[in-house]
Amino acid sequence: MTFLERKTDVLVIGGGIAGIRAAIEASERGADVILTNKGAFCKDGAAAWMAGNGFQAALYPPDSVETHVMDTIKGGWYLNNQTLVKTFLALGPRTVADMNKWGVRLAKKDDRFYQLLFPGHSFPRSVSGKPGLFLGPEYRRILYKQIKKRNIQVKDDFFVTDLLECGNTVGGAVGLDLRTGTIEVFRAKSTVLATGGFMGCYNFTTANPTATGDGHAMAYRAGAKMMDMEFVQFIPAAHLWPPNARGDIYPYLLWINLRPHFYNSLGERFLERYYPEKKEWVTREAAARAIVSEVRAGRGSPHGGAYMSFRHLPVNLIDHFLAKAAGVHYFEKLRDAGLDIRRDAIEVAPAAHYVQGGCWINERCETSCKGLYALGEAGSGGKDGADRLAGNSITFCLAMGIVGGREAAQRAKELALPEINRTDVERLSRQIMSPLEAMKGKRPLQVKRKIREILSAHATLGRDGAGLMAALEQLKQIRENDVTAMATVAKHKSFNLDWLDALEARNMLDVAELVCASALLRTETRGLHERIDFPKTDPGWLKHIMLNKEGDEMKVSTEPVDFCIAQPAKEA
Amino acid sequence: MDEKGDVTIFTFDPSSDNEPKYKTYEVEWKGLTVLQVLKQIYENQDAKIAFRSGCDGVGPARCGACVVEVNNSPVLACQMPATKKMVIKPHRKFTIVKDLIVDFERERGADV
Repeated sequence: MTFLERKTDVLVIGGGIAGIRAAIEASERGADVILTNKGAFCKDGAAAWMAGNGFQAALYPPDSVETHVMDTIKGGWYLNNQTLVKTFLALGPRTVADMNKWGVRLAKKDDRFYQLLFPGHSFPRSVSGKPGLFLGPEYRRILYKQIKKRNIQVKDDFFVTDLLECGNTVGGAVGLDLRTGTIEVFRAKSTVLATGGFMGCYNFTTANPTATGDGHAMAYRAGAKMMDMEFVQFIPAAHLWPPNARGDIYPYLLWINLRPHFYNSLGERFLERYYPEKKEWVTREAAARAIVSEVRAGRGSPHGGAYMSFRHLPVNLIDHFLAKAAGVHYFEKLRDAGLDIRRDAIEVAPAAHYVQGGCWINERCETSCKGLYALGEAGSGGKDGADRLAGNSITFCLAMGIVGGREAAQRAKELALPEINRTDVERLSRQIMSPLEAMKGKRPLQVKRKIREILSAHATLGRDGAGLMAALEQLKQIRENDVTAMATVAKHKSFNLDWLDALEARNMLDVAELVCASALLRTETRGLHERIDFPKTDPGWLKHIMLNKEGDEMKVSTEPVDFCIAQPAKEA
Repeated sequence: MDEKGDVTIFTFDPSSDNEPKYKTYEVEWKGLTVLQVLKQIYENQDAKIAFRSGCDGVGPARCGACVVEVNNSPVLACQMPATKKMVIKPHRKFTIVKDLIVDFERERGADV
């Protein structure tokens, strides 16, 4: 078999904010760069494009990078890799300067960037858009121009399936050109993973469902060390039903602003049962946990959540709020669905929002595989720890783009193009073709659905050992019976969504196993990881869970946290 | 039972078809967005249909992936409430890759 083969210095996989920033940096340092993207470049579901608010950087005294680092470590329950936090956040001011220079319209006041205070931060440090301006579309517009200006090659609609490695060195990747249905090889001196998270492995997410952990899975299959996979962030309440606003995070803002009541399908204000004193005043995380418990007990709303109601509030109070929120898209959608919050409840549920786990990386964004770099959600390194401060992720993405792009370009200058293993390419291409060529088998869509059901049942909030063990057993069944026996219904080659589903299903399965195995091992509750059977935080668990593939086996180990900057208080 | 709607979709695979065909599907549509109707068709009726989706309309901003024409007006499928009778076509400005999927980097010639 022969494949179309292209060579480059730096291959960037993923056209979100981290990948783009890395491509710019590598290109500025003289490297030839190819950027592949699963969808249409800058018209896709990359998380940053949906951002409303800005990002965090310590710009002016009395704020300092040191304070930003400390806030982040405290917010991460002391599980962060402190060196990484410092390395990346020190670049915060530069990320702001770059974005400003390139034309992102940031709000300014008296010649200073205007910064907002976010929960968990000691100082107002979130740069924001000019009034009424969402920053997501700004990033998308500006970064697109920066890429075009630099003549970086962008390969749209290209689904990278696997990394190509030869003797623990990654030398590029193989994948499917979705437009033509042909398999292509990209050989590269440095390969940068910037594929985003795996929130799409859950039924309900505020992110795009195309975030199926592709980079996580391909890195793991290539032997890279993964870590912190048990930590997944959930927004306590996103819009579940009516369906036309599914996944919208606006109910979370309503929660913060209007103190709604929550009902189960029996009409019971169930939070009173869980928290007799605080009731609806309990933390939103605790309330979200109760919603999940109600659903598990069969008392959830028809679509698997709870009813969020505002009926107890005076109508004119709600009207005043609605007048202030005029123009908010969400209310248009409610109107389209015939819903009026003065009268009707909306169905809400916790939704997967961000992932903390990914590849182990060092402060140069190098993974444990030579020649492979990982950024953003794909490159965890433990930078977020057990929870994440609001507004840090875009800062991390941009900073890691700078570091990863620089290092990838440097490596490309020093080294020759690594060899790739042709037999491997053939084996991997047969795997790609298998669901298209198989005449009989499971429809990929069904397999994806099963995986999402399992993770959504057992690996959201309020986990327990028995559930996680059951989940692992069910995933094992899928691995043995379903994933190798998928067959697409559609057999054409050009833009076959059925085929794409099959390739994503395989990645989702790898990721789901990593999440459940890590969550089962961590027998404590810390940050975003809540174990019903181990409700206490255990200082003995101030360590990372590491996973890597050896042969066909998943090898699990732990690594202690290096408290080189801050020691946890005794009770942490 | 809800009354079903009729959706007519432009289909065209430049690698194998000489000219586009329109296919009509009977669908649930009430309370759904155009994108949700397209997903329903893909999942339950026609696995061959191709369309783009990205952010699915969540969050405060929009990614623009799912732009199509519904009854000759360009709309974001994730934002547009479905109606009982719809004709869905690819955006007229861009070159067609397959069915409703276009290449945003190339403007369309006079060919289709």
